[in-house]
Amino acid sequence: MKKLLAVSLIALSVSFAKAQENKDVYKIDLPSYDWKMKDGKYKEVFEQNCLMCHSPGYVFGQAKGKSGKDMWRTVVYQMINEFKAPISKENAEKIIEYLNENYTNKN
Amino acid sequence: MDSRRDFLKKGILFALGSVALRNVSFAEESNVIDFKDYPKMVKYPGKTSLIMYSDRPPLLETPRSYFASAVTPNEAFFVRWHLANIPTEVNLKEWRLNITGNVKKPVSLSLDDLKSMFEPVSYYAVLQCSGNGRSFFENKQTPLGIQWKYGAMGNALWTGVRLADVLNYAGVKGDSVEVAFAGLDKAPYPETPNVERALPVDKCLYENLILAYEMNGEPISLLNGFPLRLIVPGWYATHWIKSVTNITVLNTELKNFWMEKAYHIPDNACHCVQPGEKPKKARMITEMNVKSVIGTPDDNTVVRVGEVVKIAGVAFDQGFGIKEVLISFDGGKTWKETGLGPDLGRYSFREWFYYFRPTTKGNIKVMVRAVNKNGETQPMEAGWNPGGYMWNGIDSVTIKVV
Repeated sequence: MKKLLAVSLIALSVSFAKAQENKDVYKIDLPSYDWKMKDGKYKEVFEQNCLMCHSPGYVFGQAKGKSGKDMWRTVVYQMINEFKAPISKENAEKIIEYLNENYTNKN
Repeated sequence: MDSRRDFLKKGILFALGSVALRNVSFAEESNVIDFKDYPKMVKYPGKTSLIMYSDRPPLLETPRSYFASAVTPNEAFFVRWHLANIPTEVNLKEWRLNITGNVKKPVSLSLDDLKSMFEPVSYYAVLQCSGNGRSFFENKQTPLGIQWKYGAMGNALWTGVRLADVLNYAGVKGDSVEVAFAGLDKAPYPETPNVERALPVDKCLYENLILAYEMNGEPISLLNGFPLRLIVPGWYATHWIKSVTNITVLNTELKNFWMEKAYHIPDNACHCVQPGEKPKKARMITEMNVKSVIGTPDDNTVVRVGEVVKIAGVAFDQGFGIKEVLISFDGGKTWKETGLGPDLGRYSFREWFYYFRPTTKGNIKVMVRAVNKNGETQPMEAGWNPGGYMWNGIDSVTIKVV
């Protein structure tokens, strides 16, 4: 009987310690979404080079606006020069072409 | 093969893998984002339906209707991160706030240490993204950046400890010039500059900044910067570093992309240039400007002649406080005073309201403009700048009287 009590006390304290541990851990499961990008030439170059760091939402938002001339060139080179995206010049031109063809905004 | 290229290849494989996986596991209709229904209303854990611009990193905007009240509920509070690897799990047993650099005694404090060793303080303060309202520059030219409308802002009661108390505990050395703050968020690609920003040391020691652990009486959510967020009342959100973990006192100015290039505005009186032009001289964005937003009624609300409709919203500025909020029904020719709600402090949203009874049929454009206690008034239209920052043009809604 004493043994049983001791065992259950240990079990109780272990589970209490676990609860304490969990109380200190804050977690969140982030949802992710299936972005439907337009099919087109060099779409895969865009996907391989851009989606590692951010969602296509950045493209959708800008494409809905009325931006200046050569907007996608500015954006892609900003990614390379400021955010250090490892994109070759050749691929940069392909990405710009894909975006210009498929996501040119109202301007 | 060098390690950078190796990493890159793995990264590309990983990105491809996750793209392929996503198509399988998230096939339900609700998880599909089409260009035509972008931005979409979605629910994140702990949040109500918000306007989602991106999931990696999460970018969520508060719908305009929440701005009929002075306090923005935590579940509706906007979310903005720069880099996709945001902290999704924090163990408070392990987490520490580290204060190092040009200090007499480097310190490492748990959240319990912060709560027990320093006096808690609370105040209401508006948190607003520098680019809030950026999409409204579209009539001139859409600047690059997230196309926020009304709700990259919110007002909460922040509770925490004074930054000055914590810095003095570590002992700031006399020749210090700046204090730098870094959070737990990281860039997916290691060469992308992580977010680290600095503020002048005198601002940190002699003004009213706090390190907050509570927002409207609850722990700050992971999406909004758990466990500790820097509160810089009156200044734009870019300075309010989330999940602050490393504070470094510096005896030289911090030089990085975030300090030298990002969040810069034209260094002139209007903070503006001709659309498409680059400023000759630029400086870091700091204080907010005076602004008001209509929270209710919705645009194009239908009202009968003689029926009373409550028009209400919020106004705020950089901390002088709101003097008055004016309303116009004739395109800005004449302005009437609105009623003001309780004063929750000079950094808070101030509620304003007006009971309107239309007497004739037709569309009525309701315009609102705030004036602060320093005599600053909202302009009819905000000045254009390349970053699309500081939009504070006069807000309006149309009421359809039938």
